[in-house]
Amino acid sequence: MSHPMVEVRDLRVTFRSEEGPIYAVDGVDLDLAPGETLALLGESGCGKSVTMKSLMRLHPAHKTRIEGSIRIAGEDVLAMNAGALSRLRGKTVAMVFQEPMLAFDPVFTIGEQICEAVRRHEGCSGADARARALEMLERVQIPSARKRLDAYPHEMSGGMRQRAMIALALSCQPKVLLADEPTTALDATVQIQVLLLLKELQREMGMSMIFVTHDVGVAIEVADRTAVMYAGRVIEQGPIDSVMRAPWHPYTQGLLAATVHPGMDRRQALNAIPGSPPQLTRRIPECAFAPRCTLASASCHDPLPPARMDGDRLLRCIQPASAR
Amino acid sequence: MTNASSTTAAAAAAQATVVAPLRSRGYWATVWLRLRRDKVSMGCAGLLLGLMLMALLAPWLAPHDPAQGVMSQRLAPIGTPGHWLGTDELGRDMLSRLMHGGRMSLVMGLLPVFIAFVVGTGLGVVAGFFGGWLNSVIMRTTDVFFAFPAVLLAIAISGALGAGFANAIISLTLVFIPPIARVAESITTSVRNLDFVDAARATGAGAFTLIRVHVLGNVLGPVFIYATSLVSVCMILAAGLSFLGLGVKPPVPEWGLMLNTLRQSIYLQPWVSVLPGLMIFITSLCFNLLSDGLRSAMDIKR
Amino acid sequence: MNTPTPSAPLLQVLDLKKHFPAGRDFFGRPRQWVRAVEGVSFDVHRGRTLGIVGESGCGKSTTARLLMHLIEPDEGRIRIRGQAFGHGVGRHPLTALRKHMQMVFQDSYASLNPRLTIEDSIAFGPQIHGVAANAARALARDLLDRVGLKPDVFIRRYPHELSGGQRQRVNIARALAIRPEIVILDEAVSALDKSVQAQVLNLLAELKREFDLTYLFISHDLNVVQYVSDEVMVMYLGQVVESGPVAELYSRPLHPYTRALLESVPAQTPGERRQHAVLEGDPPNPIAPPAGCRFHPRCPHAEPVCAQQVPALRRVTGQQVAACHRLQPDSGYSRVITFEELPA
Repeated sequence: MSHPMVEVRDLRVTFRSEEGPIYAVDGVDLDLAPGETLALLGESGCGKSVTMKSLMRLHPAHKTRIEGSIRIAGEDVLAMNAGALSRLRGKTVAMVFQEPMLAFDPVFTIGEQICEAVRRHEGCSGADARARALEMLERVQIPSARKRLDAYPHEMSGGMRQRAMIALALSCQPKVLLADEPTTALDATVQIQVLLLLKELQREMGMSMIFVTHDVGVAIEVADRTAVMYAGRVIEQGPIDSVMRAPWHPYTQGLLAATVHPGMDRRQALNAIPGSPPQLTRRIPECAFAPRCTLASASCHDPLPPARMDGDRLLRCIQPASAR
Repeated sequence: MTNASSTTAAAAAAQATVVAPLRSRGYWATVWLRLRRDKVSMGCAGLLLGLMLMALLAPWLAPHDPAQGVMSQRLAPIGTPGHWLGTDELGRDMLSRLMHGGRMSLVMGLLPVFIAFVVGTGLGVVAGFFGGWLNSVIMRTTDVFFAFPAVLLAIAISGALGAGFANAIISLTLVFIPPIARVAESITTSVRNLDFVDAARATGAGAFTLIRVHVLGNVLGPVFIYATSLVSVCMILAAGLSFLGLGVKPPVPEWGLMLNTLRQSIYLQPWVSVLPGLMIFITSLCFNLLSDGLRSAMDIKR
Repeated sequence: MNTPTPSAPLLQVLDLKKHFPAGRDFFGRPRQWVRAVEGVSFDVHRGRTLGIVGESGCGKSTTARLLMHLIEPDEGRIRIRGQAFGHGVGRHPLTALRKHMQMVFQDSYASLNPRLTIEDSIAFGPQIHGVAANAARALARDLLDRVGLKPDVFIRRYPHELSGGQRQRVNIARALAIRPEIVILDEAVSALDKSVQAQVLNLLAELKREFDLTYLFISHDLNVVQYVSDEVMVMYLGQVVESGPVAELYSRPLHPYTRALLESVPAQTPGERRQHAVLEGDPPNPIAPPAGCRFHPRCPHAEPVCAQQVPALRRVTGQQVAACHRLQPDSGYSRVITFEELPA
């Protein structure tokens, strides 16, 4: 148990584009213990989804350069050939997307798609696969699951589709579940159902989970730990309770202060973070948040040193944590 | 952390960080810049420009009179001194005829598509923007034309109207209006449902203003690309009409017609005989490649 | 700014209704109707913000478009300062209506014409209303400055060159350019990142004071609605189920749906994690909505009467109104409770 389930070291992802390279992820370290849920928290364009997709190598190879190391269940993902990669996807690591309508093939029923995944990875008979598919639909609490097995994706409501997507992802009992904003497109009353379901399944099946979200509330609901990303870097990491109670990094502080909480005084303006995130068309050696930071000093524009550990928390900022 | 009072400062800082990267350029300027980087498109554009200049300046550039043949020099091979591209079955200089022929061929390739572009876009935009019964009337009418293959339609209309340059232009125009209207209609329908059109309607703008300011600007580009891709088809159809004797009449030089008359000499002078066909091929290929390049240059993402 | 409510409302909406055809048969006749908005009425007083919340398909965005007459309502009256607009009043007053009321959309990119510069986009509206081109352009510069974008930098730019937050500022400037009294904000900050969202919310608050605006704030984000609104209206499947002053509605929701909605918001601090989901299943399809109270199939308190009779929207306490049999003594509901018995 001492080995982490997912171990990412100095991950750098660069996309080639017509306008030149985009440094989407710039030196990310992550560890995920077995059975743990990590919330990858950040705003659009911060590299959280890119990081996730890199774990399964889902980026188009000819446009992407991935450097660093990714180990999942002890295996080196970046060194894998096509065969090993397809065994990894679905069997060891599975993914749930924001829009299940795009992840399902519209011409096959939900049951057929789950069966297909089960048979590919476990080589079992059609009947066994169907039994498994049914069991999975029941586990994700889809009502009248037997009937839903033969439903097409478009025949289901958004919430049911997302549940079916989860059933598909979990059908081969993956060790790691990657969830990319799976509840963002859902209505409030459905979102909480799906969040609680994911949490329950994760506990039951003993999976590790990485949950990408921009929503602080959602992160609090599901995660044990959180890693806050900004401009392609993890700038703060730690147990979710302590990070949320006492954020260290000025960006995390700003993000929490800018989020509207229930019962805020309306006569008081919100503590908005000035400015907007930088473009990642150039590599930013210094702290990318410095131009927006209220605590920034001259030395903040020097190259950013590696992250510092402090107990169970990690901080990527030159200002001492004790000063906060 | 400061608060309330800092919002204006925040806004000011908001601009400060994002100002630098790109100098503002208009849409078409950006398209032009992208197109300029595309070597194939620029090559094609250059070649087409050359062909047009050649056709335009044919009376001054051509070494011989295209209509005047010397019977003793019939079907001279390529490379004959004085007739570098040979002569045709009546002993007329091929180079001069090809240069002069380009005038007709290019006009017959471009003019119908241009007229069809104007008329078809108009019909399509009106049908797409207003929808309802107007849409049904316009689009169902164009559907009738769609029922026939383009070649057949062109031949039928030309046949009914009689041979001749003007009639060929009319028939080709009629052939290209329906597809252009169809494309314009579908693009208009999608543009009309975008929020910015609603936002403009919400300011109280009338239909004509909405079309002029907000719809046309977003529809013309894609329809134009589609129309450029039709130029090659049109040239080939025009050549076909002439070939069948439904287009221009001899002795006017035109590539399609030349191809027809030289057909009998294909075993005697194959290389000379294929020259008009080669011109048609090169020109239409250039139009197609340029249209493709234009399409990708105009495909600017957010 | 919280002046006591003046007597006459600025905007009065009466019994707004819209059914969309869903699927057509061979002869082009609608097979079914989507009952998108079913008898929505409300008042908004000058200088106030009415928050409209609800889940997808509840009709809140359709209501916005009906108010602007971007979609023609089937029925209903809209009055501004007592003057009737739109439906059945002839063509002309529509332009006048649009001078009083403007709208900001959710998708900041789709709501700007990609071929127009920022300046042209903002100056378009005033020119429609007869302002000379030069004056309209000067106005555009002014407004751009006012929404926190330097005119010299942004005026000649195109939408794709701006960030989401900047584009939404432009959309706000565009809406303000014809000096409306009422601005409908249809999920106007929902697509923005939280840090940018806060900037735009602050800007909206400043502009409201400066231009003496009245907002209709449509959003699915209950926290934001609580922060910006004076009154809140909750919609479910095309109908208003509850409305009232923000503090009362949030502290003691009357309708079981409002309660469920509030209890579904993810926790904002680790101590408040949700232990269970209040509601099961998804909101039903607005084609063929449930009979009686539309919420009854998901309601924990439903009784037979809820499936049979449509509850009327009635005042329960103070200015809080709700459409729920459970709170209406003569409804035939067996376990009617009073406001005081409702848990806070």
